[in-house]
Amino acid sequence: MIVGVRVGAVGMTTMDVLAALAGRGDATSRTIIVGLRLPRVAQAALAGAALALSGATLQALFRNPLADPYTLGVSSGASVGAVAAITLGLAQRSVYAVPACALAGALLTVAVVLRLAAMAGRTFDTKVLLLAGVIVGTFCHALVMLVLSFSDVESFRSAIFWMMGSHAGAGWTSVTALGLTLVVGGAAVVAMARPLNALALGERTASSLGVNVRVATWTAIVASASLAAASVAASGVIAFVGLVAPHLVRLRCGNDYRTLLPFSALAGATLMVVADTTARVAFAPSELPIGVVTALIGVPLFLHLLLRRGARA
Amino acid sequence: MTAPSHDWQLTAVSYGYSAERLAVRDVSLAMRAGTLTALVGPNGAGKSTVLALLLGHLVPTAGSVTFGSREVSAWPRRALARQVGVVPQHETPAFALTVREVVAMGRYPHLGLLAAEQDDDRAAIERALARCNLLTLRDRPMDALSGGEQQRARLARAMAQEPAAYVLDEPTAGLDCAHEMALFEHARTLCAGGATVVLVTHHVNLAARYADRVALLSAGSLLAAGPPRDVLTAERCSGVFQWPITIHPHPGAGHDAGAPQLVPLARSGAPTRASLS
Repeated sequence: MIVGVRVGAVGMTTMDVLAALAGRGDATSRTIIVGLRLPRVAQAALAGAALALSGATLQALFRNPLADPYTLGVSSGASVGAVAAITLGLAQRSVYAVPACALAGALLTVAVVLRLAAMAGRTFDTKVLLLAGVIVGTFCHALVMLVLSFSDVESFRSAIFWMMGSHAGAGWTSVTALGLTLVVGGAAVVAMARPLNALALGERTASSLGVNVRVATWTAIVASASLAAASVAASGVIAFVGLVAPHLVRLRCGNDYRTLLPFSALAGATLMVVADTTARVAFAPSELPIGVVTALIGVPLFLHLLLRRGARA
Repeated sequence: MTAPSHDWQLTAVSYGYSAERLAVRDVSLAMRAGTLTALVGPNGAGKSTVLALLLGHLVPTAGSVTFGSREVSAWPRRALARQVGVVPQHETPAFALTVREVVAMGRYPHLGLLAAEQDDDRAAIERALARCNLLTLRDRPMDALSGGEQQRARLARAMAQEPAAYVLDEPTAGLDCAHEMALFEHARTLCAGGATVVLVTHHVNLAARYADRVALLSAGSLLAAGPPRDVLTAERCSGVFQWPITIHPHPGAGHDAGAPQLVPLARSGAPTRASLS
């Protein structure tokens, strides 16, 4: 994190950073460090941790290694909210408009997905949920395109920028909101580690091990959706972290959720900070979209670990 | 095992997945502590539905299913899981845990959400691993095990629950004969410890050798229940399985000497091969 704070378009030394943190040093450095870089690194770490926890939880819930925060349509729902806020001009009126609308969109999407599955009479059939998630996600994506095709150029740019995902907009307000969600949602899923282990074996088995499948499933869904929504609201759509961070931990430390969850949070935070820092400095002063970086760093790393494990087995 | 009772009692139980077709019709059956009850019958006879009713996964549309002093549906899941251990037919875990992690899950019903394993939990896990011969496999991932070893791990998980009753759903499906025998002997050992054991199986002959009572189901109805030699008659078995069957006494010299063994016969007019010489 220190490195993430130190490195940037404007050169800094470690001493400058420490001095700024201690409240000394010159005013410009202090503004850059405390006002810009620190919240940005903090937001990247928190968002990475939230996405990783959400992804790990959903993987157990859906008994599917490909599940991640985007499978439930959370990100697409959040995009609709955020893009609507931007094109309707709400974004200019209040800094809270985009995160609030994104969060509302995400939670509404989860509600619709669950309602669809319930109407099919199979609320806890993960295949139905997965399918409902994909369909609603696709529909939301179409809505975004529809809204964008009617928007003016400025809104269009701004919306696209948000959809690509970035931590550039980080401020202490968004960091605090994200941090609070992470504490509450993270505590909820970590407390659920044993039920999640059991659920990963199947609902009947979980039930025979004393897990109240209904309560556990709902808690996990609401907690993981909130975590993902908070992260998307703060920094837009950053794919891949929620999928890969838990898998990196699985390859190293096994699949017991009691160790998997905390380490996934750490891995997600690390991955996101590294990606964000890379996005900022690789072609400074211009920035890369962070989603490009997460994919470019993550995919080869993931493949490497996967192939090495395959060779050993 | 000082619980007042850990018997199952089904009284006039019916269950229908749809109104016109009942999967289980008017079944009354008791399963007592210290006995091994085998549910047998052809495919689609309703064996799995009866199991689901015993475990509270399904609620009867008519009649009652009680475990101990309460209706099964009135048991909180955790409390029931401390009383009843389940060995499922098969499991398709999304992610492979190690054998020890799987067996440790048997302690979940005894632990609070955040409580750590205590000495007695670890002792129960070690006992279960030892009794199922898994000590050397403890750190192996489940997906690196053979079918028989995986099934032993699931049995050990149920044992680690230290329940008063066990439900085994086709525990020998896909296992070779040595693993089959070992599993039935394990089930017998659990009974000897005072547990109520209910087992669903296609192995009528093994059930006849190891079970105290056999319940023969056909098309959702209970045709007969009782000691194997009373239930498994040639006439009844031929009718239920729709195949000519004769009964021979088991030739072994052990506890199972004389147990009725079903021998399906060739039907007259069926394609044949050159006879054994």
